[in-house]
Amino acid sequence: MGKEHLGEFEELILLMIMLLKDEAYGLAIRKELKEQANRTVTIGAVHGTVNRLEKKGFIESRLGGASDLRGGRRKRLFTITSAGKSILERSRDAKVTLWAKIPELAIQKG
Amino acid sequence: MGKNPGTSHSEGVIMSNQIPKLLKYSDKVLKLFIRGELFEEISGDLYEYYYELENLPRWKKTVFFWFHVINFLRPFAIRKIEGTQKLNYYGMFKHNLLITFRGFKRHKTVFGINIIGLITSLTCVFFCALWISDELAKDRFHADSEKLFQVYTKFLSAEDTRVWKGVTGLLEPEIETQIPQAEIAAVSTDVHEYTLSVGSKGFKVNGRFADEDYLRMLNYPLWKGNKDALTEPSNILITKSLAKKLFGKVDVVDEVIDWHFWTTEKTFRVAGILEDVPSQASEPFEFILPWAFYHDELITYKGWGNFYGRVVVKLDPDQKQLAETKINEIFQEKVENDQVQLFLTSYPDQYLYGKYENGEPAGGRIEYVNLALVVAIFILLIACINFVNLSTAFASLKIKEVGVKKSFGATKSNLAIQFFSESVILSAMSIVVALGLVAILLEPFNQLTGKRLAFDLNPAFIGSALLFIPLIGIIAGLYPAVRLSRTHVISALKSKISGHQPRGAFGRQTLVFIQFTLSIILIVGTFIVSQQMDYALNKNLGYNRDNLLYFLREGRLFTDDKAFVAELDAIPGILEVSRSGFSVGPDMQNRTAGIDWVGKEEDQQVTFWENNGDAKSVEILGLEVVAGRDFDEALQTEENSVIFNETAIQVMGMEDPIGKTVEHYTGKKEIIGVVKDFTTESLHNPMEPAMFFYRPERAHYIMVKIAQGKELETLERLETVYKKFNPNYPFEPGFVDQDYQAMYDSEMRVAKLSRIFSGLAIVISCMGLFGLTIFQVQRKVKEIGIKKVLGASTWSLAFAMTYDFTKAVFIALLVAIPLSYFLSVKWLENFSDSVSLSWWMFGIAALIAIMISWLTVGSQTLKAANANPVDSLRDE
Repeated sequence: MGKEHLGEFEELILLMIMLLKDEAYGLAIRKELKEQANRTVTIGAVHGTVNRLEKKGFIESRLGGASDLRGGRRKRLFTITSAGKSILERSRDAKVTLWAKIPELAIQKG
Repeated sequence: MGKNPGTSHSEGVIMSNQIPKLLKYSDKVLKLFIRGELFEEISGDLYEYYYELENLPRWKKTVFFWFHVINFLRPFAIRKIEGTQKLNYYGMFKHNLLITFRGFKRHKTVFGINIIGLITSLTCVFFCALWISDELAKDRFHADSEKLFQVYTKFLSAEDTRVWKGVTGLLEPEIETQIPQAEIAAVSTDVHEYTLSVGSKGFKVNGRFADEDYLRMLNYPLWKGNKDALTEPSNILITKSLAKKLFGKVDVVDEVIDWHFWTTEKTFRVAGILEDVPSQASEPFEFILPWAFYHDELITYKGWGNFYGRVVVKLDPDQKQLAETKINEIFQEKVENDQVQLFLTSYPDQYLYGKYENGEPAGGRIEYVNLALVVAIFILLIACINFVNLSTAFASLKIKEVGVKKSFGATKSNLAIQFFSESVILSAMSIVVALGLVAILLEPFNQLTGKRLAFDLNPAFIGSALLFIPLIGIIAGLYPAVRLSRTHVISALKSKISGHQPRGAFGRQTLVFIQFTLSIILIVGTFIVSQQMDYALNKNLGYNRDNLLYFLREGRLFTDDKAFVAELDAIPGILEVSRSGFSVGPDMQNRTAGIDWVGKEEDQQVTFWENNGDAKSVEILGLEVVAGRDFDEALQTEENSVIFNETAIQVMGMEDPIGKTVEHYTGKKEIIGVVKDFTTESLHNPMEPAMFFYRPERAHYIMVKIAQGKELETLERLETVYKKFNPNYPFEPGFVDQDYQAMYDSEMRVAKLSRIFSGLAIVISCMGLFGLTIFQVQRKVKEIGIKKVLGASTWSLAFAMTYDFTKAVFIALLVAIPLSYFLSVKWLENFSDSVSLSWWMFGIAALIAIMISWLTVGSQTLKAANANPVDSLRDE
C-alpha cells in the first residue's frame, strides 16, 4: 500500500478514464482533460502516464477500434481495475478526512 | 476542437486515400526510436490528432504536430539499446581475430586438417559448379531460347516406340505458311564431317546445311557478309578460325572452297565469315552450306516419309500445344499414317533431356548434372563435418577461455560471434585458396571432362563464391557457437562441459557415421561405374573390332573402287578389305522399316539396321554364320540375297529362314544366311534386327583389317595408296575400337571423375577421423599411462580407444551398403547389358573403408599405447 502512491496527474487521468468508460484512449483522454479540467498536455505525456499506471496495475488495456482516420491503426483502450478504483477512493477519502479536520483554518485564511 | 472522435469518421474516410506526407515522415521517425509494441497506438493517436488540426494554417499544423511527435522522446517509449552491443565493436573484432589466429597457430594439426579439408572440398565444389553451369548453359545463348522448339518424329510401335529428331524438309515451308503461331522456322541438317579443300590442301571439317532463317533464329553472328547469303546455293559461310586454317587469314570473302562428300564435289564461294561458334553450342560447326543446295541436289527422294531434315520453330511456349496439333494435321494430310507422329521439344532442353525410352522422355545428360550436384554436396558436407567435429572436440580446450570471458560479462552472443568469426575466417581463407587452385587446375580438368570451361572471374561467379564464405562459416560454426556459448560459467571454469559430454561424444560419432556413409556410397558408386565400363569395353560385341579401320569413300575411291581394293589387297600387312556401310556411331548408320515378309501383321512396324556392302562385309567383322552361307562374289546373283541376324529372324517369326524371300524396298531378296547377334551401337541399346545386302555401290566406307604387329608400317603404305588415288583428300582413317570407346565417352569421363572425387571424399573423412583420434589420445594420455601400469596390453588399449569410431564406421557400412546397392541397380538400368552385381564389390568397398579408417585411427592410438607410461604420468 505504501508503495502505491498516486500522483496528482495520475489521479486526474484515472478519473478521466472512468469518465470516458469504453472510449478511453490516449487522445480522447487528452481531450477530456482539456474540457473537464482545462489542462493542456502533450499526447506523449498522456501516453507516458497511462503506461506507468498500467505497470502499477491500476488500469488494464486492450487494442481495438481501428479507423481510417487513424490510418488503420488500433487504439489502446483503457479500463480501470479494482485496484485503480480502490486507490482513487482511498485518495479521495484521505483528502476528505483532511478537509474535515481543518474547516475553520480554511475559512479564516479564505 | 471539442469533437468527439466517434463523429469525425466521415471526414477521415475522405482523407484516408492519401496519407499526408507529414504523417509518413512522422511514422518513419517514430519507427526509428519508438519501441515496436507501442508504435501502433502512438501513430494512430497522432493521425487522429493531425486531422483535428485541419483548420489551422499549414505552418502551425506542422509545428504543433512535430512538437507532439518529439514529445514522445520519453524513457518509457524509447527503444532499448541492448547491453554491450554498441560498445567496443572494433575492439571485440580485433580481439576475435587475434584469438582466432593464435588458435590456428597453437592447434596446427586441427587447423591443418580443417583448412586442407575445406580447400579440397571447395575446389571440388567449384569444379562441379563450373561444370554444371556449363552444362545448363548449353544452347541457351540464343535470343529467346525458351521460345525455340525442335520438331521430333515418333514412330509408334507395339514393341518399341522410337523417337527421332528427323523430319522431312518439306515440312518447314508448310509450317511457315500454314501456322501463324510460328514466328519463324528454320531447317538444317545435323553437323557432319566433310572434306573441304583449297587448291590441293584438304581438311576434314565439321559443317552443316541450313537455310537463311537458321541464322536469323539462332545466335551465330556473322562477322562479314549477310544472312541472306544462304539463299544462293553456291555460297558457303565459314567461321573465322576455319578461314585461318584454310587460307591463313580471316578476311577471305569471295575466295573459293571445294567441298567433297562421297561422289559429289562442288565449288563454293565464301560469302560470309561467321564468328566462331561458342563453346555453349551443343553441336559446334565450322561452316554452313545452303539448304537449297542440299535439298535440290543431294536429296533425290523428297517424300514426306523421308526424314532427312531438322526443323526448329520459334513460337510462344503457350502456343506449343496448338502448333503441335496443327503440324500433325499437316503431316497426316500428306502421309496418312497414324503410326508416325510429330511433336515439339524445347530446343535448348534437347541437350540435357535428349534420351527417350519407348517414346517417352527419359532424362539424359541431366542425370550426370544431378550426379555432380550430389557429389559436390556430399564432399562439402564431409568437410563441414570435419570442422564441426574437430571444433567441438577441441572445445574442451577452449572451455576455460569461455569461462573467463563469461565471468567478465561476455554474453552468449559475444561468444557465439567469436566462434562464428573463427569459422568464417577459416572459410574465407580456404575459398581464396580454392579459387586459386581452380584457376591452376582448370586445364587438366578440361582435358578430363572434354570441356572448354573458362575461369573468367565474372561478378556472378565471384559473388556466388563469396556467398560461400558466410554459408560455410555458419554451417561449420553453428554447432560449436551454440554449444559452447551456452556453457555455464562455473562449470566452464572447472573445465568441463557439464552434463553435455556424453552427448557431445555421441554427436561426434553420428557425424563420423554420416561422413563414412557418404564416403562408402561414393566408393561403391565409383567401383560399380568402373566395373561396368570395363565390362562394356571388353565385352564380346559379336564382331571383332580389333585392328579394324575404315575411311570414307570419296573421290576416286568411289569410281575406281575395284582398282583401289585390288591395290590394298596386295599390301602384305592387310588381311582383308571390304566396301561396307558399317559404322559404330548412330549418325551414319542406316535403318529402314521398308521390309515385308510373309506373315507380317498389318500394323507391325519393325526397324531394321541395314548394311550395304560387298561380299566381304560380313566376314571382315568376324561375324559367325550360324545357318546358311556368307556372300559369295563368284555367284553373280548376290544382289538378290540378304543375310539377317538371329534377332531379325526371331522378329519375323521364321522357323526355317534359309531360302525364303522378303520384300525390301529395292526388290525381292532371298535369305541366304543367318549370323549371330552383335551389338549394333552400344550396350545402352538392346539387340536389334539387322540385315546385310550385297550392294557394293552403296557402301559408304572402305574397311580394312590389318595384321597385328605391323600396324604403323601398314598404315603408311595404306596412306601412299590412298594419296595415289585421292591426292586432294586428307587421309584420316577411323578405328572401330576407338569409335566404340567414344560411345562411352560420357560414362568414361564420369568414371574418372568419380574415382577422383570419391578418393578425395574418403581422404577428407579420414583426415577428420585422424584429428579426432589425436584429440582422443591427447585427452586420455594419463588414462593410457595408468592402464598400462596396471598391465593392459597395447592391443587392448588401442581397441578401447578406437572402439567408438570403429562402431560408427560399421554402422555407416550397414546403412551405406543397401543404399548404394539400390543406387547401383538404378544406374545399371541404363544399360541393356550390364555387369551383374555381386557381394564382393560391396565387400571390397567395405574393406577399403574399414582398413583406411583403422589405419588412420590405429597409427595414432598404437603410438600412444606403445609410449612409456612414465612419460605420460610424469608431466605434472
